Amino acid sequence: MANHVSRRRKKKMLPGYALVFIDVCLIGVSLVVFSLFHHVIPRQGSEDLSKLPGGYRTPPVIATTTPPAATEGPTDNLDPSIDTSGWGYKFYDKFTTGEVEKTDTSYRSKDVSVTMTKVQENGVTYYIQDIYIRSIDNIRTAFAQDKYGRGITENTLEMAVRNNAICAINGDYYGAGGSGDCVVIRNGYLYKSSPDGDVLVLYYDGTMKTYSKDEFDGDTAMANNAYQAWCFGPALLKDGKAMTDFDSDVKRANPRSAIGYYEPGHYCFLTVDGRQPGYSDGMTLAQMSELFESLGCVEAYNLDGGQTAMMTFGDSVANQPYNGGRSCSDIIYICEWEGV
Amino acid sequence: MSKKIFKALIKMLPHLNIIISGMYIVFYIIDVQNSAMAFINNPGTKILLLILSLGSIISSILLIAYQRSSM
Repeated sequence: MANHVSRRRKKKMLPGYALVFIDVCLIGVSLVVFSLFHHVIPRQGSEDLSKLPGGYRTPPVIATTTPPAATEGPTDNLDPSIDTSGWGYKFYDKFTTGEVEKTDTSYRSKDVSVTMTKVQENGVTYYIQDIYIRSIDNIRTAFAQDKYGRGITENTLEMAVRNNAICAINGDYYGAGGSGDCVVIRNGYLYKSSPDGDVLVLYYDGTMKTYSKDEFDGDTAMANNAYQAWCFGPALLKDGKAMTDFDSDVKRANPRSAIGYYEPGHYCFLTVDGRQPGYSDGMTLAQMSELFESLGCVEAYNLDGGQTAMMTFGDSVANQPYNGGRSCSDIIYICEWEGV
Repeated sequence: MSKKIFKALIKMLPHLNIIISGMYIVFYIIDVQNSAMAFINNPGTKILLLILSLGSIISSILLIAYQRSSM
């Protein structure tokens, strides 16, 4: 009788390999569902900008209209047609007197000068855009689909074209799954202030400064007229010198995007192609740090890279992104600014 | 009826533990490769860890009780 019951129970039980198979399948399904909520489904942030902490401030007058000291610009024989407002006085030879001059690798107007250079050396291909702007409003940021939130993405080129960008680079992909900790100050609005690594701040006076996670405070940054802030990192220069130790887990050669700062009104975008044997292997953080030092930058900051690394010039993609690139949350771009 | 549900839950518990543990192994590998994706350091994963801990405690208690009764 007991044997009979035991045999019946055994008949009902699934074989061991089937149990293992079902459990492995359930692990896979659970991972897919988890990733869907963690990484894919968009979660839009507050659309009511008036409810955001900080809020938008117009650029402080001192930032763009006070001419620099006479030693920083031409003192004699200055063409009277040259607009000396903003940084136009300082970089008068970089801008035109009104006309727009465009080539395949450069753009010059009365407010903006962009020169793009492609460099191929030691198995690495990278692109540098040397940028001079007259006003802080010529450098701006844009969100994917013009919405702030996690998981909202758009192609970098589409964002650039929609915003009439002269040139653009991917941003920090603040809306990627991740822990949700990030710092987002864009075009004068503070959206979020919970850093999870080095932070780069661009102030209304045109200066850029990197902060460690512990140094950064969103309220202080806004009180000091922060205009943009990004949180991807790491910082690539310390006191204008190359670094060897970085606050990052992704140190090996990769496609990368970064932004460099020389002085107020003078910046550069860098995009390194990678993971493409025979064309470009990518750069390590140390290599990129040395490159920025050799360029003469005083601050430099790593943005999102890998497949995200993309640079645009005019209406086309300038670099050769890995696997055609991917959509991201935000861009940094240079534009002719005609006001809000 | 409630006894049936309880028995089903007891049967499913080890599988739940296996599934969540498997997920954690994958999360760990992803985190070693790229911690910026925060597959471990996020609120959802912390809840999973709590469920795994409770499931493990209940499974262990049941196993101990079974071992003691079959001695």
